[in-house]
Amino acid sequence: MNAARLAPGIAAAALAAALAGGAIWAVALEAGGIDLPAMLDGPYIRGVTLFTLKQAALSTLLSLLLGLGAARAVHRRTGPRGARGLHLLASLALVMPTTVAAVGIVSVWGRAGWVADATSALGLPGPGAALYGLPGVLLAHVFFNAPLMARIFHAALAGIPDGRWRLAAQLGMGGREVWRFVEWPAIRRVAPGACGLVFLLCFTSFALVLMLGGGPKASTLEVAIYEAARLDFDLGKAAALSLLQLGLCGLVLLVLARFPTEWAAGRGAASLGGRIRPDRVERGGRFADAVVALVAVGIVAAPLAAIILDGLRTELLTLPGDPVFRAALMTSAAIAITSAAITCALAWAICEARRTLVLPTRLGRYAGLAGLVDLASAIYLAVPAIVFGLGAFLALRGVADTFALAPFLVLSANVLLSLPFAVRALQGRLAESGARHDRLCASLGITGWARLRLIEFPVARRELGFAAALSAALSVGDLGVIALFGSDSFRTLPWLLYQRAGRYQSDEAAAIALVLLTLSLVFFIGIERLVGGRHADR
Amino acid sequence: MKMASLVALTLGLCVPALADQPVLTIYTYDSFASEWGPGPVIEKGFEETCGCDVQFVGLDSSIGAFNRIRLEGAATKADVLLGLDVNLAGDARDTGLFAPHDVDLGELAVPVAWSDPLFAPFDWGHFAFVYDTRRMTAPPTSFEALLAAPDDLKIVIQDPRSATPGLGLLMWIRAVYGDEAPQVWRRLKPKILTVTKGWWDSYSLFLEGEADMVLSYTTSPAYHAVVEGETFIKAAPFAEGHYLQMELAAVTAFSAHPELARQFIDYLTGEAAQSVIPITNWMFPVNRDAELPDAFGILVKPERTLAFSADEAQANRKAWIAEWLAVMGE
Repeated sequence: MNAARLAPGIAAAALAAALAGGAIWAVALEAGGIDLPAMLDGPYIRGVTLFTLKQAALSTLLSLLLGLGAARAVHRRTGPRGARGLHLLASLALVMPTTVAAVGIVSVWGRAGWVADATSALGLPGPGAALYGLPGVLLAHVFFNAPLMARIFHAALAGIPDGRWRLAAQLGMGGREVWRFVEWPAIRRVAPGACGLVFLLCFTSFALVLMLGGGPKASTLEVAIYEAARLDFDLGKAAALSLLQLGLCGLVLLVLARFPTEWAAGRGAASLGGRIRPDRVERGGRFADAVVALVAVGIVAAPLAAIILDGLRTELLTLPGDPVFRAALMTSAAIAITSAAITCALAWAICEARRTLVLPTRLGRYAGLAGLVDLASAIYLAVPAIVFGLGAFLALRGVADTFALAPFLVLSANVLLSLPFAVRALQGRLAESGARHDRLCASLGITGWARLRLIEFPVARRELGFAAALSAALSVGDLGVIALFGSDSFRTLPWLLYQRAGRYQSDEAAAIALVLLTLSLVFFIGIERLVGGRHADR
Repeated sequence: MKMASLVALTLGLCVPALADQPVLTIYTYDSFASEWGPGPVIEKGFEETCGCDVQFVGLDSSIGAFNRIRLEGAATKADVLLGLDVNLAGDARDTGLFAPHDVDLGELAVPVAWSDPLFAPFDWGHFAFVYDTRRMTAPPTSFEALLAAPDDLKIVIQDPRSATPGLGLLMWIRAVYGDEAPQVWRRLKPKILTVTKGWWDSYSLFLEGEADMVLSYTTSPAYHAVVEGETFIKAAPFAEGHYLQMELAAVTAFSAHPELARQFIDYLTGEAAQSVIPITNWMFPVNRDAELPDAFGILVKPERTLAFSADEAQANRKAWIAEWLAVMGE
């Protein structure tokens, strides 16, 4: 029975790792081997690597702080409506094209932004060009990742049973004790996974870091890989640098996987959630929530508002009549839905295997394998799209027509991209369900499909909805490999946006960006409701 | 009735295959091939006489298209590659993947002498710093003036490793200042607001009002004039001269229809095709008889055209990028 529960998940994780690693291997093979030490030596690569690590670590830390603060504030102060707001923000950030996001941020914080306007009206010194450099990079990464963190943490807080809050209130716990005994156990279960994800996203960030970083001093390894793979066509160097990136990211993921995880926090039947928190009325809590709200408005809400205002153009009215736009919209929608379905199936299998591996009663000695499974499911995020594209091309060359395979390549890249998000969304609930129901199911002989339908699906339905919605949103926004394989017969919305913007049509690009955001919202809400059930967004 | 129309439809779809026309495949960058780019008009025009089916394949960039041919080698589907610029022509020649185009280049209207047997120019433009007259009344009129301007004059440029104009600026400063280039970059650095991955990122920052000037083309104002009817976007003429970008066309060595490919390049440099280049690709035509919209008449005309040969660019590109990185990383 264990084999049946383990095999599909291990196979799925192995496949993900093989596709990611295989791409680099194919590139290295074409180059006729790589001389790793020689390629990686040199002050430039060392400097870039250090900066990459620094900005990714700081971005993760700041996203964690704001995300956690926002999750607590929303949980303390609002009901389902606030939670829904967090969902929407998380999905919006995931599909936002980088240039669009950066323009939103500069229109608030830049030299000619809202803040500069306000300060000059008040006769105060303005921000000037202070944004460009590490501050801009961090601001942008927090803009993208804090909403995601907040969504994950809020779900963890919402999963704490009402009984615990009542108990905390009866015991007269203050804010500090509530954090330590009630919230922390729930948060630490999801924090390492969320941090790993955000770290990978920031580590491989490229266009955004250059644009807001102020110059090559602030550039990531990904830029060097891009240069080697594209401009210099030095495949050996591209493969060596990719390995370095993969190695560093893998190391961070493995370290994070060693943090203790606890599955005890359960879910109350009818959660009253934040409404019965004893620390609602505390002064310190109110102050903290007010600060978080202010920061969140400045970093996330204001740039988002700027982007939406920018997208409200007359081009919005002419877009629906444009057959190219309609075709791209359909392609994006089809890819998003297919990718979400495949991703969820793979993620489910991986979580099933993972929980079997970490169960202390059975296969405790294989707990180390769980870390590897995590690593395998997330490692694609560390493989640059250009190297994945090159590798896929080299592997398929001569076997099939690579242009005809473009939709499948884009689909697999999207699945690999969304897999770590989906795994992290699902694994907590499935592990908990395993701990709770394993013995019951064993004694009643409920296995396989029956167990899936009767036990797991009802328990994890909400999380499955979130995982599917996330995957769909990610796939709508992804540009990655399509730029390398696309042709006029196969275009997605983000590609269309970059195509139009590349030849001055920036008004149209802004309008397409708004459509992209709206589409992601529709998908996010629709899929989450459809899969997750009526109360999916609590 | 329904059945009949279905059959007709099926037959209709099969016509190109049945007619057994040769297919001429052209790899290029995506905006050239897109429906508002020059691709569709040129395709239609050439198909009228060639008895062939022209298929454009638009890839992420011209370098991406070139790399695609490098990877495909002898098995490439491409008959023609469009869009490579002079900076990579040397690398392209060394791959042995391109064959002579046999087009008479003597008649072409390009600002520098060009007689390459493998690469034929099909459009050109000069790099320039573009500004907004509503925000800037007295733009610098030379590199010297730009360098001497106060540091709160901010420019945005592109990374030479990821964007063609960025590489162009590197060459431009080298062409003006030679070995002094590193010191010039050191003086320019405080005025560089940021360096972006692509042209759009920079241009967006400029349009947003973040930077006073953006590295773009002398032809950028023509777009705003023709399409938007706005005339406040202008290019600043620099006394030292402007660096040239020429986009090149080449026939692949393994083309299944080399004769057709050569005819295509001949057509591409001819009057009809060249007349659509200015208002679709926003570059200057290489044919003297091509029509130019009025907006092109008011554009900055550089007094001096600066350009390195393909060999010079190839021999120095890596070293100059490394030198630039060293200064910018200080």
